[in-house]
Amino acid sequence: MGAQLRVYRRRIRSTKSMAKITRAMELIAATRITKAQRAAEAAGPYAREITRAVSALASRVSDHPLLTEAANPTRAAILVVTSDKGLAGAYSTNAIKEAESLTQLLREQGKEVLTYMVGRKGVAFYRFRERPLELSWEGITERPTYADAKEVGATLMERFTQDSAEGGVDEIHIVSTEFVSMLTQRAAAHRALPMELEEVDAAELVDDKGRALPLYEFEPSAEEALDRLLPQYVTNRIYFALLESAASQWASRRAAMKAATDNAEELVKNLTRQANQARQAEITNEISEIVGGADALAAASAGSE
Amino acid sequence: MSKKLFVELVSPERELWAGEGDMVIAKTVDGEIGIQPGHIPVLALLAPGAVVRVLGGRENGEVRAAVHGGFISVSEHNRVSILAEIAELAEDIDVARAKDALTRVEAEGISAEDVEAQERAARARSRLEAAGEAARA
Repeated sequence: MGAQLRVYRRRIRSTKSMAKITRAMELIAATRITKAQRAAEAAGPYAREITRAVSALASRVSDHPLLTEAANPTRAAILVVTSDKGLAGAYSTNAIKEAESLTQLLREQGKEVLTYMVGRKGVAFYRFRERPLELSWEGITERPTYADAKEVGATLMERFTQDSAEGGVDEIHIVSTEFVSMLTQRAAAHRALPMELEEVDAAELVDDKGRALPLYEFEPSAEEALDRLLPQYVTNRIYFALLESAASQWASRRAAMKAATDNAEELVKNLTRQANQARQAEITNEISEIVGGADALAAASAGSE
Repeated sequence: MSKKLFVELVSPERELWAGEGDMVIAKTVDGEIGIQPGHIPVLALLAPGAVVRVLGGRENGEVRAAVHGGFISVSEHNRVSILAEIAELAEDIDVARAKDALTRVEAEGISAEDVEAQERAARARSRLEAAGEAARA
């Protein structure tokens, strides 16, 4: 067998085994998406109820420190949700890019920006460029639990309730990836605190039959209830962002792995063609050698007679 | 007209239980609250380590759950939602583990300043109470 043919055969073999791996990863990601989506759905009722409750409270209490914007905000915190593992296409890159543009925007408004990072990829990105990270969490992005969200939320809330003169922040933004569909995921930034009221009032202030929220009585008082519910609300927002990002991550990984498998298959097809051509060339070569040899023999014996 | 409450028990990770009941009894930070059909809209914070009971929630008897750090919201049209960061139905509670946790916390001694230990003890007690085991004082 010719050397060239052997090289082709080897490349075909390795490409095929690579395709097997990416195919397996694609299938795994596909099952994980459903799981992640189910988790996000299961979290839906709580998110809906707490949003309604907080909206009802917020419409009653107007001057709560957690709701009002600081007169001149000096510092903002950004929570960026990226992935722990690679091979997910542009998933982490998009989230980081979104965070970058938000950082720039906030800096232009004269605010100092503190970055909180979730996910190993984002941490590596910042560390390599020697950018400061306030705090980071790793290993929670694939299957986020409420306890994880609570830890993140507690850290951010503590920073938020601090006075800005002592290093507290005036705003909290969350950059995460929205799950639009199996094929589309969009990195987006939202402000978690101070609450943007117009963000909730339209859809959440009416119940499922289109009636307005009832006039609640509060126990013990609206202010105290808000004090306790707002941190829970923020935690819930973070939890929801984590869940949605997890689903997006798997969807994006599935798409990337599908593209990789398709490419590998295409490559195998091309390589097979080239290998066949090389084999054919070899055969032709051998035939012409035999024919040439036979001719030479015939000519030699004809000459000797 | 037969009136029933529609009750939802929700934790952040999933909906624990939803169904109809005759009365909901819970402990708020201000005291016990009992809700029957036709109650006015109320939003109340639940006491730490509370037990929520939904009477008539099942064929025979009641649904009980241990809830920590949550609130109860009663809206018009007899809808009751109980939201808690940690919530467990009585039948899901690991009695041995809760007992163990309580013994451990008590062995360490609960001081008045140690809020976390107090919370841990309250959690364990409410779990035992919900599961129907007598919590030792």
